[in-house]
Amino acid sequence: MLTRSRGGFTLAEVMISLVLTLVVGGTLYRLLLTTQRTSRAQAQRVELQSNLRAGSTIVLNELRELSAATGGSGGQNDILVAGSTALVYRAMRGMGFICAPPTATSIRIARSSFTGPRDPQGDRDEALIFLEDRAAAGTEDIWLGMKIVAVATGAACPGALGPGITLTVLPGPSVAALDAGTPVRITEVMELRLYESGGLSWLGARSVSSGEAIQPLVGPLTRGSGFRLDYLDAAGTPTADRTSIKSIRIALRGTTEGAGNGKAPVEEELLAQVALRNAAWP
Amino acid sequence: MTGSRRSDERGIALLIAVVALAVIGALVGGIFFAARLEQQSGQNTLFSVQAGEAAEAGLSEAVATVAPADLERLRVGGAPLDLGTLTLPGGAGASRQASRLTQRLFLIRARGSGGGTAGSPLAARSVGLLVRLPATPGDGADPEGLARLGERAWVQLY
Repeated sequence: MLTRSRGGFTLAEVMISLVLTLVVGGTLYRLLLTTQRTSRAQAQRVELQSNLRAGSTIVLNELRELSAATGGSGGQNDILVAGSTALVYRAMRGMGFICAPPTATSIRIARSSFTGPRDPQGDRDEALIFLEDRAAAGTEDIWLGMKIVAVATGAACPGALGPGITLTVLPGPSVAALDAGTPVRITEVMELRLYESGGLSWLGARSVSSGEAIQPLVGPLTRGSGFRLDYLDAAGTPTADRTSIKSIRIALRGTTEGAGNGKAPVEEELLAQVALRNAAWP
Repeated sequence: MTGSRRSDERGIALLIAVVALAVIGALVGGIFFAARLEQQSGQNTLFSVQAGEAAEAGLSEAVATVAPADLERLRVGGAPLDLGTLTLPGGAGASRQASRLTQRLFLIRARGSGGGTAGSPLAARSVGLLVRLPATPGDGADPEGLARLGERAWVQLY
């Protein structure tokens, strides 16, 4: 009875079951490994694409408000240096409206009217003050650039306009006769370029106005060709004349190089084109 | 004795199966969670783009349709004129306002929204356009409408 209830397996049966177990186990292990590798590669690709998308959004937002000032003077053009892997431009940092009669070196804008990602900064930003067209004098609208040397927020605007932001500017052409309500744009000269750091390529940004060192914005990018810029005119053809630029085509090519897994790097390219809104006129 | 032997021979198959199911469940749950995050991130991008496009569409429509006579009634630095809301397909829309900055200069703002409900959108973007009324016919602007500034008419608002 005991023998019947404890009937065991023969050696052959055990061997066969062991072999089968190993085969099935090995197959499952390989399947798991493949799935894990695929999943890791997909995650890397998704991260790379997401990184490029974020970088592209930042660059497009920076460039959208530029004015190429067709036929205008160099000083009125926001695109200062247009290279194939580098761009120096006057970036918009805010806008407000004059709330009190200005003096030769002081302009006050209403805090309630100011809109921008940050407040103006002295020794960094430039104020562009709108001088309305003087058709009778044969002159066009211009935005007069004045270097901001200091910013104060203590003084209020007259009436019920509330707190003001007072910009102390370097003496220049008189702005004393300007009306309240005159637009003032706050700008900063910025540079976007492809640069090398730690053996990898990055898209970097730096404030030329403040003289700061370049900071990585997106990366790592493909060496030499990770960031390309094409400047297009109204007909959509490439142009080297920065006063004719109506749109900019941006190519960002990212890589997983440097991930350290010993595999061939994955590369992804994102192409985007931004129309310079202010270049659509005339 | 037979009974005690039976209790000794209880397997761990159920335990292994439960643990395996728990591990597989956690893996599947993790994948679903990551996919959900990706989907939500994509939706946020979509709503943001929708809001930006709605703002620009609303602005263009407002500039094309606003009556200069309505703008002329505004006071310099006074309350803005409500130009109504432009409703677009897909739940996007844009509310518009015009303010008088100086005697001839105006700022038209549009706030586009995407996703969510009309009262609480999930994304919003604002843009503006500086325009002016022509002082005299023939000064380079359409005498019956608004003229954009020669340069930097378009404003990105925050």
